[in-house]
Amino acid sequence: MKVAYWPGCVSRGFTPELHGSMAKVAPLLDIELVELDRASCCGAGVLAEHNQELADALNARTFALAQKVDGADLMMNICSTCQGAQNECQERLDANTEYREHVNEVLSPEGLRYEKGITNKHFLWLMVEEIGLEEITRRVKRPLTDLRVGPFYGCYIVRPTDRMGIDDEHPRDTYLAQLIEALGGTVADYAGTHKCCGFPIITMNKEASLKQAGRHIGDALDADADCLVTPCPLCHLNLDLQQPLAERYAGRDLGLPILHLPQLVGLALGLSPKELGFDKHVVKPSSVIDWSTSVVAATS
Amino acid sequence: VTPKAALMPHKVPDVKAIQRIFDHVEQKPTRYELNLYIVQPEDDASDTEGKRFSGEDSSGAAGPENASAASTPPERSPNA
Repeated sequence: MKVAYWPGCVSRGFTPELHGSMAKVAPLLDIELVELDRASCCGAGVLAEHNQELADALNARTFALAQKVDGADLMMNICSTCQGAQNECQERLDANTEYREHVNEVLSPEGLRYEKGITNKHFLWLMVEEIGLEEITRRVKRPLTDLRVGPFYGCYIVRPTDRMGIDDEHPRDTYLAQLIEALGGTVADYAGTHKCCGFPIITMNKEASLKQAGRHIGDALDADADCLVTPCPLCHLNLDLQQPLAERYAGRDLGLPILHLPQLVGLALGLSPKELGFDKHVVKPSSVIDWSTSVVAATS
Repeated sequence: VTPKAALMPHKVPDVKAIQRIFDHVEQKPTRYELNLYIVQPEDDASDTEGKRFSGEDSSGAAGPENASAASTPPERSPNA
C-alpha cells in the first residue's frame, strides 16, 4: 500500500524516534511511505483560533500535495493532533464549494488545488481498517506476551466523535486496545485512557497540565502497566519529556515508559529497542527492554 | 523515507510558498471564515434545536474515510 505520508512537525523535531520507527515499521507492513516533505505544520488547532482561513489554506495545501502523489491510496499521518486539526479543516473545506474555491485561489500560484474528499487516516486507523488486525497478528514475530500496555489515546483522535468517524461500525476509540491484544499484549485499563494529557494548556498553566499528566501516569502504574502507548507525539512530550517534572507535581514516584505507536508495533514485529530509538526517551523504557530481552532469550 | 533520513532535521524546501500564503491571508482586512456550527443568531437557536443538517456538499460523504465531512451543515455563504 502506497500512502502520502505526513509525519507532522513534532515527529521531525522533538520526537525523531517516532518518525524513525515509522520508517522501520512501514516496510514490515508493506506500506510505502511517500513523505510530504513540502508540507507545513497543521497548526495544531492553535493557528485556526488565530486565523481560520490561514489554517485551512495551509492544510488544503497539504491535502493538495497528498492528492498529487502518484498511486497513493490515501494520506496517512502519525500524529493525533495533526489528525484532529486536519479533520477540522477538511470538514470546512468539504462543506462549502464557495469557501473551498476561495482557499484554492490562494493555492493556485503553486499549481495546487484541493479536490473535496481526501481520505486521511492515522496510522492506527490504517492498521485496523486497511491492513486488518488478523494480518497484523500474522506478522508478529515477538508477541507482547506478559507485557501490560496502557493505551493513551489523547483527546484529538477521539473527540468529537462525528468528526473522527467513530461509530458502531468503526469503534476507533477502541482500536488501540484491540491492537495491543492483536500484538499479543495485555491491556492495562486505567482511568486516563481517553483523557487529555495536559499538553495544550502547558504554556498557560504548567501546574494543572503536569498534574494531569502525572495523574494519568500514576493511574496506569496503579493498574500495573509496564508502559503506555500513544498515537500522539504531543501527548508523548507531556508524558515522557515532562515526566520528571510531572512527578514533582503528582507528589509520587512515576518512571513509566511511554512508547510511540510504531515503536510498540515494531517491537512485536521483531525490531530491537535500539532500532526503534528507545534510547532517545527521557524515561528509559528499561522495563520494556528487559521484557524484550527476556522474550528473545526465551525463544532463542 | 529511509530510517536514516527520518532522523535528520527537516527543513521545508519551499518555505517561500508558505510565507506567501501567510502574507496573503494575514494581510487581508476582512477575514473570510466559515462557521459550521453557528448558523443563526442565538435567540433563534431553540427553534432548530436537534435538527440535522444535510447540505448538497455533504451528501455522499458518510463513512470513516470521509469522517470529517460526515455531518456537515448545508451549503452556506462564508462570513454569513
